[in-house]
Amino acid sequence: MRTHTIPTILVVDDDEGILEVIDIILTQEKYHVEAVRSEDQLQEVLKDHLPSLILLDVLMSGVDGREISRHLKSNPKTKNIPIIIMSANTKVSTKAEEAHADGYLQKPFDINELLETVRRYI
Amino acid sequence: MTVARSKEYSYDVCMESTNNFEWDEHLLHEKNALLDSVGEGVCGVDRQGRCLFMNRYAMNILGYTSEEILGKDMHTVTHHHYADGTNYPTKDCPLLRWTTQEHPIQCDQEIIWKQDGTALPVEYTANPLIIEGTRRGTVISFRNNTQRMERDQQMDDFLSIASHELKTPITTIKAFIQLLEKYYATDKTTQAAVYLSRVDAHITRLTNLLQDLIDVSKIQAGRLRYTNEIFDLNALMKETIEAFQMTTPDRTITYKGKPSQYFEGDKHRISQVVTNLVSNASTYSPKDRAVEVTLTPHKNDFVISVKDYGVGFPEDHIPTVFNRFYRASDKTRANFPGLGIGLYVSSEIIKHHQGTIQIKSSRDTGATVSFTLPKHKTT
Repeated sequence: MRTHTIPTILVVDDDEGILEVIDIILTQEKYHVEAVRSEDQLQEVLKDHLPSLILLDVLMSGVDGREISRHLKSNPKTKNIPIIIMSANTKVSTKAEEAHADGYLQKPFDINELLETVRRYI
Repeated sequence: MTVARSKEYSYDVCMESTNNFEWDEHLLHEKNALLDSVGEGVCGVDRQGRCLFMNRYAMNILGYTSEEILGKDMHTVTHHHYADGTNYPTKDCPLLRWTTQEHPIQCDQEIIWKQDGTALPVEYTANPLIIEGTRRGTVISFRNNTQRMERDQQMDDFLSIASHELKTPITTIKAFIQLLEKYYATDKTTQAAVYLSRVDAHITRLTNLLQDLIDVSKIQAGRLRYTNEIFDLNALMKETIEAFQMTTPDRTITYKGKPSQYFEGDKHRISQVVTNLVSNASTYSPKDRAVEVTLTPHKNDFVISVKDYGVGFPEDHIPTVFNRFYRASDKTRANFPGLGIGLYVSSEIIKHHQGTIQIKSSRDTGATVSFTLPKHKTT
């Protein structure tokens, strides 16, 4: 298993723009960022190594982020990875509960909100 | 003649009402033909809930023959389980309560079980069946709700996708603007950071307007969803005002409340109301005057007030300010930004929580918008 001396954050979102900007923000803060656009790509990463935190979008094409989160939280191998649910929905905290996630981030967010949320769980 | 009647029960009803009754076959034929022409299901039950008659539409859509339904207990035959498959005890069925209530009952979401075991979503109206001044049973008219439910679901999906699709690029734009702002923050040779912070503030405004529009669409479609939890109203007020203050540093918002005031309702929606009212107050009031927010617990309810010292509302406008398109008709407010639908959305949210909302104001003396939230709601 690969290890990083700096925390790895796995970002899962089907929007290229969101992935790019989160990557830039977190990389500037010296995190190692891996950005994936689908559940398949997420599973590929998890086969190889476990990230320190997952930022997970809810509404992705063809897949519900809440289901992915519940699945990860019920798997002994991945259940301890903190998961932050991201959604544009005003009920994002309810969605995070439904997803059995650890935290949430409402879109659109401030950079500081993103960084504070990440720091809280790493 | 298709209307199925239970001879025994119909006759009973009529015999009870008059000793000298004889069916006028011609009249009956006409009445039945009328019932069969109705484009919705109509059926009658006696005071014990047994089926007295059922029109052609109902028989066709439910798939029952007259032998299978007439004289039978309607609840046992057509109403025995809830939509989720759990047992629906007869004692809980409103049918039995209808027999003692004299006013019509309406329900826009109910399930009737068809003969083939599938569920038919319906909306219905139940009216007392009164013959010669005496309550004899109930007449239920129902409509197939399948298409409406599909349309509602499509509307929900559309609004959810529209919200997501519009906010996704806004999220990216906002984040890049903030990155640039950070980049220029230390460069005193340009105004770039200042301009970018303006852009950022307007992106926040755009997001709020978008949310208002989505909420109005949901309210109009009757699809605004609420959650229910017990929370500390005072803590929520503080958080909401602090969050608002952060985005509007050039205004002063003061808050006075009392610790540990618990309320049961939708935390996010109440916070949205407070943000709306505070945002309105800051928009319409001068920069050098604070917006004053208070939370006062009373015996039966909480009163939350937002007071500003701005342009106020003309007194004759006050009864209409909670209308959906109030702002569009108020010329004095045309120079201020916003769609003005926030008050409408707020009043709908407060109504849902069984509270009231009101405005006290006169021209140029500012306005106080107050809303109440009951400590104990009626179910």
